[in-house]
Amino acid sequence: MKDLVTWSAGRLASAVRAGEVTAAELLEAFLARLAAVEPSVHAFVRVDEEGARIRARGLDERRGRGEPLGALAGVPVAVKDNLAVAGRSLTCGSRILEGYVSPYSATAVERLEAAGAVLVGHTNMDEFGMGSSCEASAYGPTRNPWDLARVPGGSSGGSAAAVAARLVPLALGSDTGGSVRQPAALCGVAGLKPTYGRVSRYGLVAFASSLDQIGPLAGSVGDVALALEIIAGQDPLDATSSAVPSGDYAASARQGGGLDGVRAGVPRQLAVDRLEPDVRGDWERSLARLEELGVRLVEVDVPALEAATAVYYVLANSEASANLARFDGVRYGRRSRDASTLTELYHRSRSEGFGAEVKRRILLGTFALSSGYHEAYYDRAAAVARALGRELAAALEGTDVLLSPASPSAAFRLGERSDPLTMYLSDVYTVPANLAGLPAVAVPSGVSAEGLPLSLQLVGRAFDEARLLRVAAAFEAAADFRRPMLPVAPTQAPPEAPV
Amino acid sequence: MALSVSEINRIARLARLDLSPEEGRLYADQLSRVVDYIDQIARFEEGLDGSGPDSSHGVRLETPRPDTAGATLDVADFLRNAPAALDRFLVVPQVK
Repeated sequence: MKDLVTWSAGRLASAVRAGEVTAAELLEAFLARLAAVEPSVHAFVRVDEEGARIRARGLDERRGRGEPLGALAGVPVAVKDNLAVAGRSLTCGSRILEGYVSPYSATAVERLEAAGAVLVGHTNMDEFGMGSSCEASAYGPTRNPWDLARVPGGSSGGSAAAVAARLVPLALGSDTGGSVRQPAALCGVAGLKPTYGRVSRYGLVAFASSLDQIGPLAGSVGDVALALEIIAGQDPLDATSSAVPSGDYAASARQGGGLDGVRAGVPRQLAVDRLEPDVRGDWERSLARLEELGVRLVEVDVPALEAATAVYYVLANSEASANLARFDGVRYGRRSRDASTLTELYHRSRSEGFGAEVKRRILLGTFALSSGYHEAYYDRAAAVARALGRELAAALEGTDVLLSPASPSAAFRLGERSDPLTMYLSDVYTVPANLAGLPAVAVPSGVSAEGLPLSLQLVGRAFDEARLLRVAAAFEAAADFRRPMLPVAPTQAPPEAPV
Repeated sequence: MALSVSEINRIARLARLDLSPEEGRLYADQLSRVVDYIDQIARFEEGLDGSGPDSSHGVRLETPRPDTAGATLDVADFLRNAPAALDRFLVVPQVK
């Protein structure tokens, strides 16, 4: 079974449950791939091979005793470096958390492990989730497995690259403004941001608490649905997690068949005429393919969409400036060594510990919340976000899903987007779903002339992931996209990182 | 809206960040352009719901859990991550 690393998470778990392969054998297959490929890609900030081996052996022993194993029996998984795992380091891609060890596990991580997953390690990310390229990590950039000179997207770039390079079949990321979907798009994998409240945020380090959701990335919509089914559901430890019952998402994704009767909304405000020709061509082919499947396309009007990116950067960074106030050198994390007063300790610990992008966002958020500017920026942005939510809900009353490209471009080169505003506009298609709390999934749709993956985004009604994933899986099956075993040679040295 | 270096330094003090002169100039330039972009929000003022600034932009809390004491993180476990601790307390430099 040499091709184990190409199998889906669902198929691997079935094989382990049936005794066709042991969890230990499965893990070794992925660890061998990791040893060969990871030096080129740098998807991980930490790999815990020994912990994973102990865990896999334990699962095999349980199976030997006849105990039932879960839906992810023996499946190696990776989680983003902002998800707590008890007894393990957690750094959020930041120097300020060097040495921090989580005293507890995130609920989503506990649920994956309860389903039999084997945790392989933590994946790289833009510091505190603030970035769209994975270049803003204190631990160096991750590279796109499709082209090592290009970024994997961000901020969950390590998780997306790990899945694309088949270092793991499944990974968790977090999505505040597109941080699961945009890297999924740039790496040619499926990535889901669930409805706000669908997945507990307990143990996810907060960036913008009203927007953050944990979401899965995998090689197929089916695996993303399987993972959602496991991590979804109310949690007393997160007051924003919802009591709405979760669904049989994997079955919805497996449903198959045509999409007769499905109505898909295309917002007038997408400005697709400004897209690169490759992205626009792929978008038009995706719409045609959906029509062939029986989908009726409907033009919808969402005026506030044009303000979404601006609104997002006010609200997300306002919340971030408050959330990141906790990193002050007192209770945990980096403490400056040469502060003689408490105030100096705060200033120096934060100034030494945070990277440039995090400082930039804290400054922007502090500005938007400061006396004299609060009404013009934060309050106004919150009001436009509410308007956007109403407009999207109205558009979804007459449709089942809304469509857009997942990213305005394919993967760009490392160092190419040094201007912050240019980088922020990478999220133009993904931020609306966060602002409105809606579920959204990025599905590979094609390949550019340069051989880079392109992706379609589908946005669903709140808590209607079942319908969203059914449509997404049908599109995926019809799309002209096959994920190759990417040619990342073990000896291929990574190109030098731009400073 | 242009943000001056002194305005950036004022915001940095509020955020408890020290900026080098070079950082101050860089952030003033970059954030002025970001704020210019953000100012387009003003065009969308019409048709807004006018609800007060105190309401969040959409998060709904589910029914709160009962207000009863439960288990909490063990103090010794918590203090393992502390940069400096003495008995059950965090140690910090003097407050001036």
